[in-house]
Amino acid sequence: MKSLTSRLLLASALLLPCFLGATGYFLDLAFQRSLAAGVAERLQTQIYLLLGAAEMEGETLTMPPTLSEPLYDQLNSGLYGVILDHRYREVWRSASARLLPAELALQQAADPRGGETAFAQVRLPGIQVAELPLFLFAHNTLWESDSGGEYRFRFYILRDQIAYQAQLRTYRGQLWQWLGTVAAILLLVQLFIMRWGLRPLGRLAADLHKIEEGETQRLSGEYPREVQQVTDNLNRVLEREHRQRERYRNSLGDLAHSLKTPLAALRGALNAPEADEGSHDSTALHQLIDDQVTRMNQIVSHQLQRAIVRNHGSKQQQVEVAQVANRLSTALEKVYADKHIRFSLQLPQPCGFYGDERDLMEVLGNLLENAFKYGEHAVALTGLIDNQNLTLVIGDDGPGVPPSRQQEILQRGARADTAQPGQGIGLAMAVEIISGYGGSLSVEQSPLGGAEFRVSFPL
Amino acid sequence: MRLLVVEDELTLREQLSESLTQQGYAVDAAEDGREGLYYGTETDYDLAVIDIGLPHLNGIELIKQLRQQGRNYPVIILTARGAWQDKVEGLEAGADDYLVKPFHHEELHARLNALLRRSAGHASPVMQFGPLQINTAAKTVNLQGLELELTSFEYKTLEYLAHQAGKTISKTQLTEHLYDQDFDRDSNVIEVFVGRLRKKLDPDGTLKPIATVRGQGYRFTLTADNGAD
Repeated sequence: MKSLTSRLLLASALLLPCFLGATGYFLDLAFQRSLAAGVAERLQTQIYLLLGAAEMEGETLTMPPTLSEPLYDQLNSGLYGVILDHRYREVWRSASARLLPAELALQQAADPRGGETAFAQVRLPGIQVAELPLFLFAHNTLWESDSGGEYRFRFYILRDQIAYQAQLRTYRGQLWQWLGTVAAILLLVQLFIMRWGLRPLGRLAADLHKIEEGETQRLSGEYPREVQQVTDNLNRVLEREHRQRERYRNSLGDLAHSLKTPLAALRGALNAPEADEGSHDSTALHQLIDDQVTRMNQIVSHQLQRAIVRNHGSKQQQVEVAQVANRLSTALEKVYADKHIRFSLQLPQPCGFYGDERDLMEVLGNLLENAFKYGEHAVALTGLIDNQNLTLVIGDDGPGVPPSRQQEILQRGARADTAQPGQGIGLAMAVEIISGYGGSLSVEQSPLGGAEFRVSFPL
Repeated sequence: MRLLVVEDELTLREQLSESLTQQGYAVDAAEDGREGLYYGTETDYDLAVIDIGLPHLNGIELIKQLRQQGRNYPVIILTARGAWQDKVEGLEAGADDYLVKPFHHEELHARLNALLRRSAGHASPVMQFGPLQINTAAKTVNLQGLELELTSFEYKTLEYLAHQAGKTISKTQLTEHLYDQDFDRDSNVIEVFVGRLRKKLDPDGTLKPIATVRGQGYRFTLTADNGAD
C-alpha cells in the first residue's frame, strides 16, 4: 500500500458494505415482520366479519349470499374464506374461492385448538398465485344451537401476498437507496477527515525538505504525539551525524597538520647537501625514511580511529564475547601454528559486550595477538561480570612487561620491545577504543608467568 | 619456489616482485582479483601473497574461490586497514597469515619462509638429511659441516626437491616451480642443473641424494633427521 490514505480508504471500503449490509438486512427483516403483523391483524378482523355474518341453522352454519367485503364476491380476488365443520368437511366457501381446488389441505396447513387462532404463511397444493405463499388465518370456534347442542366450526381466511410483496419491494428500494447514499457520504467524509488528520505528516515532509536544503539543522515545531516520537529520534540522529561530520573535519585537519612534519623531514633529507657516497650516509637516510614512514603510519591510524567513533550512546545489540574470542583464537592459532600455543577460554554463560562487534574484535584481537606473539606455550582469556563491569583478562607465559615499562606501553605509540617486527599501533588502538567506551586497561604480571592485560568495560 | 603476487597498486606490486625475485623466488604478478584467480587456478604455486582490496574480485572472495578449486598452497594476505575483522575474515576464508601495510619486506620474507617450511612439514628453517644440511633461512647448504658453493638456480632446485622429499617430481613440474611464466623454458636445462647438483652434493657417489625415476622425473631420496611430518 503506497499511501496511508488509500490504506485507510480501502479498509473503510471493505468494512462499510459489511456494516451497512448488516444494517439493511436487519431493517428489512424488521419491516417484513411488522408488515406481516399488520396483515395478521387485518385477517383477524375478516374472521370477525365472517363470524358476524354466520348464522346457526339447525346443525349447520349458513352465510349470506353476499358479504360486506366485496373481495369475497369477486372471483380469484386473492381473499378467500372457508368454513369447516368439526370433521374438517367444508361447510361454506366464499364466492371468490369457487375456482379453487375442491380439496384444500387446510387441516394440514393450520389446526388451532378450541378457541384459539393460528396465523401462518403456507403453500397449498393447487393454488399458485405468482409463485408466492399465502397468508392463512384460522379460528377454531364453538357454536351453540337453539336446541342447546354444541357444534365446532373452523373458520379459515386465505390472503395472497401480492400487495404485501409490492409493499416490501417499495420499502426495499428506498432502503437500499438511502443506505447507498449514506455510504457514499460516509466515504467522502472519511476522505476529508483523513486529509485533515494526516496533515502533520505533510508538515513533517516539508520540514525535512528544509533540512535537506540546508535551511535548518533540526526539526523544530510541535507535532502530534505519535509523530513527535519520530521527530525526536530523527533530531537525535541528525545531531549525531552533525557531530560525526565535525569530528571527521577535525580529524582531517589534524591529520593534514600532523603529516606535514614527517613529510618535511623526508624532504629535508633529500635537500641535504650531497655528502660522500659512503654507506654510512645511505644507511642514515634509510633509517630516516623508515622512521618517518612509521611515524606517518601511526598518525594515520590514530586519526582514523579518532574519526570513526561508533555509536555507544544508545542501547546496543549485545555481542557474545565467546563467539568473537573463538574466531580470534582460531585465526591466531593458525598464524602462530609453529609455536603450538595452548589457548584456554573461560567465560561466564552468557557473556555479553554492549557495543560494536568490530570494536570488541579490535581490542581482543590486539591483546590476544600480543599474547600469542610473546607467549611461550600458553595463552588464557578469562571473563568476569559483576553488576558494574565486564572484565576480560588476557594472560600469557612469555617474558612479561617489566614494572617500569607497564605505564609506558599503554601510552600511544610507545613500545616496550622493539626487537619484534611489527608496529606498536595495535595496543594504542585498543587503548583508544577502550577509553571511548569509558573503560580501562591495566597490565600486571600474570599467574602464568608473563604479562596480564585487564580490560574493563562499564555495563 | 614459485610465488603469486596479487596487488593492484603498481608500485607496491613491482617492489614486491623485485624483492621476492632477489630472494630467489620465481614470481608471477597479477593486478586484480580476476587475473589473480586465473593465474592462481592455472598454476600450482608454492605460495600466494594476496592484497585484500582488489578490483573486480576482492581478496577474500579470491581466496575462497581458490580453496574451492582445490588450490591449497599457503596464502598471506596484505591489508591496509589492519582491522581485525578483515584479518579474521581472510583467515577464515583460507589464508594462513596476514601482514598490515606498510610492512618491512624482511618481515614478509620471514613469514613467507615460515609458511613454506610449514607446508613442507619442516618446523625449523634448518633441514638435516644425514650429512647434508640445508638452511632455508640463510640459503646455505652444508655437506659434512663444510659449506657448498651452489649457484642460485642450483640452490633453488635443491630446496624445492628437498621440500618435496620422497615425492617424484616431473621435469615439467620442476620447471614450473623454478621459473616464472615469462621465462623461455627448455627442460634440458633442468637436466644440466640436476647433473651439476649431483656432482656437488655427492662427489664420491655414495650418498645418491637425487634419484632419476625413468620416464617420470626426479626424487629426493634422503629422509629428514628431525622426523618432519
